[in-house]
Amino acid sequence: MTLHSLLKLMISIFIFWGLWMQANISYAQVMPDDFFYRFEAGAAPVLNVQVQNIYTDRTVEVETESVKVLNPGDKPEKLDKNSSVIVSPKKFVMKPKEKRVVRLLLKSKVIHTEEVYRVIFRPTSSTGGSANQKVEDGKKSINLTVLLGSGILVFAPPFGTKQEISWSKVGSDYIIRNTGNVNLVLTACDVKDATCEKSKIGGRIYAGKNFKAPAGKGAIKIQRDTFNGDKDFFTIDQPTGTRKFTE
Amino acid sequence: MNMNRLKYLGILVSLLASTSSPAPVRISNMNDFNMPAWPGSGNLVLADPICIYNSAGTAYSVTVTGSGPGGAFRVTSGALFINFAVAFAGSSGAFANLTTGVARARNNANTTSTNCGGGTNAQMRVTFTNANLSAAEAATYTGLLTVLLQP
Repeated sequence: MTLHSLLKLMISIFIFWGLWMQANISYAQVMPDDFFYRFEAGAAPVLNVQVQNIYTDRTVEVETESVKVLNPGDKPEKLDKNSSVIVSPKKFVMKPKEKRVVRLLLKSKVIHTEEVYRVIFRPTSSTGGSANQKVEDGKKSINLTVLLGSGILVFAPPFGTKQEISWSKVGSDYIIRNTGNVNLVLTACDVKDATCEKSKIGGRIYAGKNFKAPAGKGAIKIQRDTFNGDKDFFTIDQPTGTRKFTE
Repeated sequence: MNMNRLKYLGILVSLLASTSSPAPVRISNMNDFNMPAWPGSGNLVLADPICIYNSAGTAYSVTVTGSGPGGAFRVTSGALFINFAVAFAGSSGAFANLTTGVARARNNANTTSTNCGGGTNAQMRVTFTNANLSAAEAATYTGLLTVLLQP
């Protein structure tokens, strides 16, 4: 090998080595225990939300934000930063695997229709973990940290809660309207189905909103999921009607 | 880049802690990883399949924000920077590019198994293009991605 070719090889190796890039991704995750919370109508306007730092080896700083949803159920959502839900503490630090309670306080009375809020737990930084490794000077490296947070939906029902639906048959469909003042989780399916778990028709129907369900052979089954996890079923086979629920 | 291969190449430095009781919402299988190297050509693609569980229903939205100006997807080293793209896929595996700060609705959370029965149902993918990497000066670049999951 000539000196020239050796030099060329060394330069190539140097350039190639210089191009190598180390890329690391690390995660930090803060999760609440649930996605949905509800102030109890007529009770103290306080809710406790438990959040957890999922990881065992990193500390996470978390900021919270509360916004009011002005048009629940519509897309895109209109959000108002003048929320009536106060989050305490607003900022906090969570050690690895730490669980803590964050308190929500509703500062105004709900009069007519359920109010809906979003509270967001947003991690802003994390320390610890071992993915972000230092590399030698003169090299390219990327350390990317993914901070995973979560939002929750918070419902504030009025004192006089009314859970009710009304329906009417229009052509081959039923139009099912939430005529109460709080949201309902309703799913429609064929009357022959044991449950409506596999159906995608329906969902969380806010007060005043409706959804359309095919009437099948003149009747449909409705599954209602209550806030505490129970389910009830009933059949709609009349062209119009109303049904009230207690919980 | 094959995602499974990526997981094997990566050094898994932190496994998700198991929780003492199943929570109604859980995201699992998010593992840190260190790619060995970018060899000087081609895009650098980093992805990790995850499991999103929500006992209350399949619907959720994901919003991703970067740490660059205006929430740009960017890693920086002083004044130097490298832009990257972020995409998210549900169980179909079809990735859709995300715009910073804009929520994307998904409808495939697992409602029965907190760890998707050992499988996954979503992926977030980060792509650094060959052009951006080639143009970048040697430095240690850092950045944050904030991912918000909401019902």
